Parts: sequence; C-alpha cells; structure tokens
Amino acid sequence: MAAGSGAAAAGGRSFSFKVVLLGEGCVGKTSLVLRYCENKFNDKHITTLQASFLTKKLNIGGKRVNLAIWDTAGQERFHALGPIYYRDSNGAILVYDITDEDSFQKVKNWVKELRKMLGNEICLCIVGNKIDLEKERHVSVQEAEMYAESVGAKHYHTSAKQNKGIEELFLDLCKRMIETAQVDERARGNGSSQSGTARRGVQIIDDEPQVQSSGGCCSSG
Amino acid sequence: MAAAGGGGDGGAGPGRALQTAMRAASGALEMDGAGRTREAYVEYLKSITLISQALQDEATPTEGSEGLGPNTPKMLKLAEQCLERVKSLAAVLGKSKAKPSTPGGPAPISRHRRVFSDEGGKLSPFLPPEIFQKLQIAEAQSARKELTPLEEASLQNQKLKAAYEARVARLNPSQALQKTSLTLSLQRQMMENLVIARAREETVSFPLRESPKQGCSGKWRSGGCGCRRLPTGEGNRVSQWGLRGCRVPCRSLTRHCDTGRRFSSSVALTPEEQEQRELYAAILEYEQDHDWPRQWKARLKRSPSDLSLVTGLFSCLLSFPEHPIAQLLRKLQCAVYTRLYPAISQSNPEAVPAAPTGLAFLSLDAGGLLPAEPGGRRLRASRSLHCMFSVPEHGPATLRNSISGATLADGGPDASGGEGDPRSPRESSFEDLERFLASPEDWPPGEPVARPRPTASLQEQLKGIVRDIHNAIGEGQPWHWEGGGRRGDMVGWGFTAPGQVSCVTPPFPDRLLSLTLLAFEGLSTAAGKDQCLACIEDAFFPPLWAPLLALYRSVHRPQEEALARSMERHRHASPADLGLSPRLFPTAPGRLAYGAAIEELRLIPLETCPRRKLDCIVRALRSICECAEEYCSARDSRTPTAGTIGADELLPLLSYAVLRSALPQLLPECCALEEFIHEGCLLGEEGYCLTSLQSALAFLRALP
Repeated sequence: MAAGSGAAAAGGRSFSFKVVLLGEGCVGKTSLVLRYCENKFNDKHITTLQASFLTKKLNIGGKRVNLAIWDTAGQERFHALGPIYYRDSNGAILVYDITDEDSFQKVKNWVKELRKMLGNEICLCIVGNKIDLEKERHVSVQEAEMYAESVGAKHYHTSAKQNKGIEELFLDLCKRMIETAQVDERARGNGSSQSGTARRGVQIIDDEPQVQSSGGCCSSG
Repeated sequence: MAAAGGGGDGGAGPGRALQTAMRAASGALEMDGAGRTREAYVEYLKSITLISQALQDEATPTEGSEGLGPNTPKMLKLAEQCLERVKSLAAVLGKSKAKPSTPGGPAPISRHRRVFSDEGGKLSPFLPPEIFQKLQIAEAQSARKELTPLEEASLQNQKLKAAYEARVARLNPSQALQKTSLTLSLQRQMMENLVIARAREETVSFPLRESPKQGCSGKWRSGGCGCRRLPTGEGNRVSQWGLRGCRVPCRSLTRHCDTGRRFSSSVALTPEEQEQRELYAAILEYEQDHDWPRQWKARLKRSPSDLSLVTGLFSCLLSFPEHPIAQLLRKLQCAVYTRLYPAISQSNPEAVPAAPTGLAFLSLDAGGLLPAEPGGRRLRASRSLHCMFSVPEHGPATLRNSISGATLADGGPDASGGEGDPRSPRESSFEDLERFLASPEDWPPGEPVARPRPTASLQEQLKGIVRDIHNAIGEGQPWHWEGGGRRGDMVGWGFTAPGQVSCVTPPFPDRLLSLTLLAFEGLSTAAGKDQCLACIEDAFFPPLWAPLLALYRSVHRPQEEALARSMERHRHASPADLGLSPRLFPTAPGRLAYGAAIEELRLIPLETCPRRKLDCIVRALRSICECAEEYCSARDSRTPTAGTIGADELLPLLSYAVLRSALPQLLPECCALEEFIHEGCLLGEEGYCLTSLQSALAFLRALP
C-alpha cells in the first residue's frame, strides 16, 4: 500500500489500524470476530486465514478505516508470545467469559502487560462475552466496569451467540483509534516527515477519494 | 496471492520428498564440482538425512502401513551415492584441514553458472569481492560476443563436458558410483543450460520483434564492442558511476529539456540528487542510441493499468546489461556484497552453516520443479552469484577494506548508531522480551544480565548492510512517513539489546526505485510502484540472499542451535503433546496431516527473494486452515463453523507443521524476512503469517 505522505487534507483520509484480540481459550473470541465479519456478509469475505486474521473496511463519518484484526493464541503456554502479536497495535480487544471468573483474571494480566509494553497509546476494550448466559454470571457487571475504568479501558457486553453488542464494540473502538491517531498527529505538529516521535503502527494515508458505501463494508485481505 | 496448494494433495509426500532430496543432492553436487568441499560434504549429509527422514515417515505405521512407496529404491540409490561422496570428501577434509583458501585467478567466466573450475581446491563458501570484479569484467566482455544465447550455451556445455571428463579421469576406479552421479549431473546441467539459453534467446529477440527495422539488440551488441563514446573503455565508465558519476555529453542534457523539468536546477544538490541526475542523464543518453525504452514507454502509456507490462519491462531492462538501471543494480548488489563479505568471512568460516550458501544455486533447480513463472524469472535464476556483479574497475573504497580483512569493523560512523543512548523504558521492555525469546534458557525473565556479546560487531555490520539494502532498492521507505527508527527496533529477535540504539534511518534515497520511476514515467501509479519494487527485489536479492542469510545465521547461531536441539528432542511429538485436539487431525491414517503446509514451509529456503518466501509462508498458513476445515468437517458436518479455526488452533498447528518440516534454519530466515518485508505488509496478512511463524519457532525452541 503506497501513499504520499504530506498535508492532511480533510477529505479522503484513510486510516489503517491493527487490533489484537486477546482472551483465554473458551471465551468465544473466534465467534466474536466471525460474527462481526460474517453477520452482514457471507463466507467468502473471510480471508483464507479464517478467524485468525480478518480485515474489515469501514467508513466512519467520511473517514475510511482499514481494520486488521489479529487473533492471538489464548492458551497459557503461548502467553510469552503475546507481545510479538500485539506490538504496534492501535487497539486491543480483551475478551472474557462472564461465567468464568478465571478468564477475567487473565484479562487483567493482559491489561497490565499491554500498558507496560505499549503505554497509553493503545485503545483497550474489555469485553464480557456470553451475556446470553446471564444466569450463570460469575463476574459482576459492577466489578468489571470499575476495573475497566480504573485502567482507562472501555467495557462492553456482548453475546456472540445472539449477536449483541459486537457491532457497537468495533465501531466505538474505531472512533477511539481515529481520535488517538489524530491527537497524535496534531501533537507532531501536523508534520508528516519528522518521524522520530511518530507513533508506531498507525498509518494515515492520504489518497484520492473514492466512492465508498457508508456504514462499513467488509472485505477480504 | 495464489491460492493455497490445497489440502487434498497432502498425500504426495514421498514424491515430493524425493524431489527435495534430489534438489539437495544436486546442490551438493554443484558445490562439489566447484571445489567447495566442506559445504558439499554437509549438503550431501543433509540430503541423506532428508531421504532417511522421508523413508522413515513413509514406513512409520501411524502414517499408514501399506508397505514401501514406489520411490523407495530410487531414494535409497540416491542416498547410497551421496554416502559414497561423503566418504571420499571426508577423506579429503581430513587431509587438508586448516588450509587457508586461496582461490586462484579468475574462475572460468560465463553467464551460465554451470562452468566451474575444480582446480581451485578449497574455495571458501563465498568468493572474495575482487574475484567478482574479475568475473564481472570478463562477464561484460562475454556479453559483447556476437554469439546468440543458444550458441553460447553450447559453448558452455562444451566446457562443462571438458570439466566433467577431467573429473572423471581423476576418479579412482573404486569411485565408480560417483561417476554415475557425475554423469547424471552433467546431463542435467547441460539440459538446463539449454533451457536457460532458450529463455534468454526469447528475451533478446523480444525487442527485435518489436522493431524489425532498427534492431536495438543489434545495436546493443555493436555498441558494446567499440566503446565509441567513451574512449577510456567500459570498465572505466562503470567506475565513474561512483560518487563522481559519469561524464555526460552536453547534448543529451540540452536536447532533453525534460531534465530541467524533473530536477530543480537552481538549488544545491545533495550527493544523492547529483548521482540521480547523472544517472538520469546517462539513461537519456542510452535512450538516444536505443529504441526499446521508447517502445516500452509507449506501451506503458497505452495500458497504464497492465501490471504485467511492468514485469515485462524489467526482464527486458535487465537483459540489457548496459542500461544504466541494470548497471546501477549490479553496482549496488556488488556494494552490498562487498560489505557482506568481510562479515561472513569474519565469522568463523568453519561455523558458517554451509547449507544456505548452496541455496542460491539451487534456485534454478527449484524453478525447474515448480511451475515456471512468466517473464525473466528463469533467466534471472540462472545467473549465479558469480555472475551478477558489476564491480567497478577502480572499485569503491569499501572494496579495499574487504581485501585486507583488517578493517573488519568497517561500516562507517553511522553503523554503530551512537550506542549508549538511553531508550525509553517501553522500547527496552520489548527488547528484553526479544532477548528472552531469543535465549530463554540463559536469560530468565526479570533478571537481565549484561552478557558479553561476542558477535556484537557482526550485528553492527549486519545493521549497516540492511540499511544499505534498503537504501539501494528503496523499499517502502519514502512514502511511509513514519519511517524512522521503527525498522531498527525490529531487527531480528534478540538482536537489538538494551542500550543499543537502532540506527535511525535517514530519508532513503531509494536509488533503484526512484531512478526507474524517473526513467519510465508511466510507472508512477501506486500499483505501478509496488509492482516495480517487486521486480527490483526479484532482481536484487537472488544473488545476495545466500551470503545475507549466512550472516544472519552466524548472528543467530545460538538460537538456531537451540531450536535444532529442541526440534530433535520433540521430533516425534504427537499432536496431543502440542496441545492439539484430535478433531483437528484426519480420522483415517495413511497420509501426513498438514502435508501441504509442511511442503510450503520446506520451500521457504529454496526461494531467494523475500517476497516469494513470504508468499510461501502465507500459503503454508492458508493451507493449515484449509486442512483443518477439511479434517473437522469430515468429523462433524452439522456445525458449519466447526472447522473455522482461530489463533488458538492455528499457532499450535503451525508449530506442529514446523516441527515436521525439520528446518531450524527457518529461524534466521524469518529474522531476515522481518527486515525486508514491506512495512505496508507488516499490518496485513503477510505480517500476521510471518509473526505466527516466528511465534511458532520461538515456541518450539522454548519447549522443555
């Protein structure tokens, strides 16, 4: 993907974001992203890496967003490898199962690690999945939301099974990432070339405006 | 990106194994023929390993016990021949240990790689830059011959045959088996020379067809022999491509008002701009005498969106060695090699893993087995390391360094990158991690030890070389505004240690790309640029990958060795040992699970260009996904998404495939790839696949 650097024209902006997906084995990460990318669109839009790596194109208020969703292996034995995946991420979605207290503890560990490695530039989403199993809830809403607030993350409730809250989650995350990228860009003084302090990973690309359906459309990589 | 090879052909194991083994053996034969005894020795052993592994896999009851495959006798025969050579090489190696390598004068010169003298005795794995220089001069001369490629090929084949006869004459009667293998290899080589020649002939005649009246290739030939414009001769002209650039007759500058438009003439020029300007002038001058560039420009203009034209243009461009872009390419390759050489000779040559050095030479063999690509691919693959370089006659300053070997820590003031600068804690935590991943056994987390790094200066050299390469081909940098610093941070795992500051990349002159875009205006679309860059890389990397990888291997040797040990320990690990659910494996035994992915992984070292290697990785992962889906749906067809896997399954499956591939050298390969993958790709599927492969390698290495 090539693009000219340079002046930030108001129109025709496009952002490329990397989002990592973290969560223990059975919390439903795969179903969540599959829901997100499959719901409106059929199978063929899923890249051939299936649920491991997905891309999605969105148009949010005239700003085009290319989302690359990187799934990570949630098993304990792969824990040490996480950083390789989330390096240079703009956003992270940390999923736990509301019926599984332990999976929420894992999320806390990841949050610590992400903040340590990536600082405050990364937009964190903590996601309590499986709200269709409300009866079996083991993680209280209050506790989860308070925790999220305390670490500067946003909390979401989702059900991959019933397709609840997923669209909102991703849309919200994208808006936050755009904001962060813009703040970051302004901090650099609108400059494009001096990259010493440039935030890693974001790519803001100016290019010719294209006709784009609004409301987000999915595409395969 | 091509679709995956398909999960269905996973059963082609034994056939493919034979091919792989034959490839290894032919690589060994070639090294053997070139007098590179130690490498050949290792390579023979490797092909024996491959064969026994394949036979073992075949015979293992878990994988299907229907007796032995049809290829078994052939493979045994091959193993026998390899072993025969190993025996005699072992004798040779035992006798002449520690004898310094003194390559005699220029080896026989040819654009065909197959002619090697075996008089040179024990050549070091890589030729010194000054040998390249001589090769290049002779190469330029041979390019001027009036022979057609086919005539040339026949000449080369005659030489080949003579060399073969000389070798056979020297064989002991007891080495009868070796004679057989020599004979086979001669036949194969001669055949290949003809194939190469045919491809070359097509390339040469292509422009002829385009302009029957004014045959540009005819002109090219006549222009070559006389050096009519520059009486100092061709070599001198090349040498002037150094800092000072070449003299340019004023007429080209005045006649092409274009030049003024493209270069703002008023401001003071940086040396890069100066060079660019001179090169551009040289291109204009060239275009006065040759018609083909104009025709290509017209074609590009007619169909600007046809990316296959870009590929065509490049294979044409590179088949005219006197075109300034082709010359610049060779010059830059040579400059990189000149820096690489002292680094790879500095690292103990005994310890330089021999295998990858042969791989560049294997590229043709690989090309022969894999579907041939359109364009000049085959042609390029046919050029050996020995033939690709244009060393200026009066050489660049760096050349002298490499000769003495005394200035090993060359690399200029910028190579060290001002060590000691404080790093932000966040960045160093990544580096801590990298170091941990690099060598978990000797660096427990939370306890950073300042260990002496014996290969520090090698690492520095590697960094400088990497930067040179980016400079040369102009990969990615100019249009990614965030360029600086990032790449340096990513230099291989466990590579950048805390306190060691990665080089901040200067604005890249990206000489090859920008020169090409300048010369062919029609390429300046985004897609055109990308394609152009891909072509440049395809031409730039093949002769350099082997020495480059050798350097990466010596820098990462401890990790690679640790991985090799671990892979050996866990060679027979079952899917369950890797935490994999049986539902991800085929119910019926009888074929190697995820065989297609394993084959793709095995192709990675055989490719010589980062982009193609990356494609192999992507195909490997895709094929894992396909296989998993296939196996799962065979078990459970009720739930359609049952076989849709995420990283929870993909990473362990990939680890399984890597383990079965038995290729620890994938680790340094990945380190190198990480450096040369386009930044735009890092975010996408390619980046994800590379990251996953690196993770799998790190995981396997850390297995208890």
